[in-house]
Amino acid sequence: MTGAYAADFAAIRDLELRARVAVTGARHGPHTSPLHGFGAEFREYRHYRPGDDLKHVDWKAYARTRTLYTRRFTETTNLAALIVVDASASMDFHGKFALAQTVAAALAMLIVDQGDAAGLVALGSRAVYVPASRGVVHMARLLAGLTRLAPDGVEPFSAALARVGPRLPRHGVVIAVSDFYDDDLALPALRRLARAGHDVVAVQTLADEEQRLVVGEDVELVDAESGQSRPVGADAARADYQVRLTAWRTRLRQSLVSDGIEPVSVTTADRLDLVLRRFLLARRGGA
Amino acid sequence: MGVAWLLPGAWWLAALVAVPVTVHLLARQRRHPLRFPTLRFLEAASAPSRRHWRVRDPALLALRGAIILALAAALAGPMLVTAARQARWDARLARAVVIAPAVVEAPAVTAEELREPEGASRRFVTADFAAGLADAAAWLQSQGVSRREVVVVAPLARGALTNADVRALPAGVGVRFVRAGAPAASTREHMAARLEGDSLWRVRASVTQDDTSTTVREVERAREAGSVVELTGSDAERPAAEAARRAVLRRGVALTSANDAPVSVPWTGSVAALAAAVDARSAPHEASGLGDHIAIDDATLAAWTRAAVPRGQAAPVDDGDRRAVWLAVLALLGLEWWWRRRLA
Repeated sequence: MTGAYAADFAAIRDLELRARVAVTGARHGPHTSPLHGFGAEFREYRHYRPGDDLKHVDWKAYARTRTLYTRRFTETTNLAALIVVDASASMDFHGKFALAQTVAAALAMLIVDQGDAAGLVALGSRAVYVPASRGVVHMARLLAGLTRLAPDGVEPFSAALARVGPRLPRHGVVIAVSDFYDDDLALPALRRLARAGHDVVAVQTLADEEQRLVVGEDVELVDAESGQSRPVGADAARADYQVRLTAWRTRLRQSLVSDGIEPVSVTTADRLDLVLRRFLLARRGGA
Repeated sequence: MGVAWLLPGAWWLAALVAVPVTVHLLARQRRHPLRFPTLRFLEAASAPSRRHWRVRDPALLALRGAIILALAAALAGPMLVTAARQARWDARLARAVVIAPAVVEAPAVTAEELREPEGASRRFVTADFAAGLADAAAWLQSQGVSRREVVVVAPLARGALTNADVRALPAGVGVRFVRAGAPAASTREHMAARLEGDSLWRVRASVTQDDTSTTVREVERAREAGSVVELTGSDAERPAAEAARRAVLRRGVALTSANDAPVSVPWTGSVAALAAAVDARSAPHEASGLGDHIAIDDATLAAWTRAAVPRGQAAPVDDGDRRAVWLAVLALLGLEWWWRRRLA
């Protein structure tokens, strides 16, 4: 089951997924927490204050200097990530949904592999929810849920995003994988998650044929979600279509960035491993 | 190197190319429905209304047209005309031998020049050579060989063949003559009115002809009561006309039966013209029958003789070239199937 995504995962497993903002977690982990305390990673010395736990006093320093110092640590925590996959009908086009599945699987495997918790939320014809957890068994469960997904949902992607908040009470990572064609509803939902303190990543997946309007000449295009149809002469419409699509993607990206959401874009023509590496390296630099 | 066709009429099937053209033109309005993620970036004006009469899938149409044309070509039976094949086809000869019944078994018939040719040969045994030549010409026309000739084997007596009979043969058909046998002796009755002295006699004679002589034997003679020839003219011309009438009667006037009505001829002032008019209106057919036993002279036969001319493009012989075209038809059908699947 993991074999389908193994190639993409192998290309990025040497990288850590680091939360750009501090997250809180129930367990110690490699991600910094805003709560400074006495975790595993040494941070600084400060003068002893009454009430400090004597086990954190550096007695060797006292022997040398005859002054009491207390060691302070940066508390580390585990990352809890929920991957939200768009399983609406608009994703069913020339491998676009398969790409979204691959992105979700690769990131989930990476997160779990580094000891963090990953979960899955999707709204296809039926709701799929795999709570964030760790371990190989959990990973298999998550991938099974991902594999069973089909792009046959009738609910908008924003409905799936709305389910994330209650399931991720602590500050965590939300990875939304979608084409974001219902951006009028999805953007506010993402904004709410970002304002709630979650690290939100928006991965836009598009099919190359969709981007270039490769649909054959003189076809009757049927909107996958609304069912509306329109005769289209692709050759005549292509240039205008691409201008409009590019402008919309630019606006979407600007909106996401201004809301503190990290945008990632990938198409079926791209090398997914390169896109994910670029994304993860950028996050490492900003961590 | 050229191409010849075994059944050129099959090219009419090429007209069926209109069928796929019509189908593609009519199919233009049935657009292929395709689910697409969103229409929000497509203007309503992108509908291809101005492409009303444009053919859908021109490449597929071209492929289907090619299938029809290849099918027509395969049925038409293409043959590559190489130099070697042309030479082989040109060597073939169709020979029609028109032969008189009396000389069928004559030694000349088996002579070297009548040997069976590489091609086709047929004999037409007939005493009516004009009809025989026509039959031979019709048969030769149906033969798909390059060279055709007629060989006439007969005693070749004068009257058996005329220049018109030979000229009626199609151009390019060779003609040769082989004289064989002798014309059969014939005897016929001949009736004539003749003025001898002042008496007009009706004479019935037996004329016997063979290949060397003509023998005339008078069988019966009787006085002719009628005038045989009557002249019309003015009274002033009567003496001259009467003299001319007597001159013609002295020469003799052929009669067809004993009860002939007098031949009435207007007097024009010329004895020669009167004689010709009387001959034409009395019994010219009998007069022309005389002399049939005389052989057509060699100079005439040489003038009639001509060589068979190869046709410009020999009718091809099926050597299996059409199999390649049938394979091409199958390949095109496979390609068309693959192309349709690809478009679907």
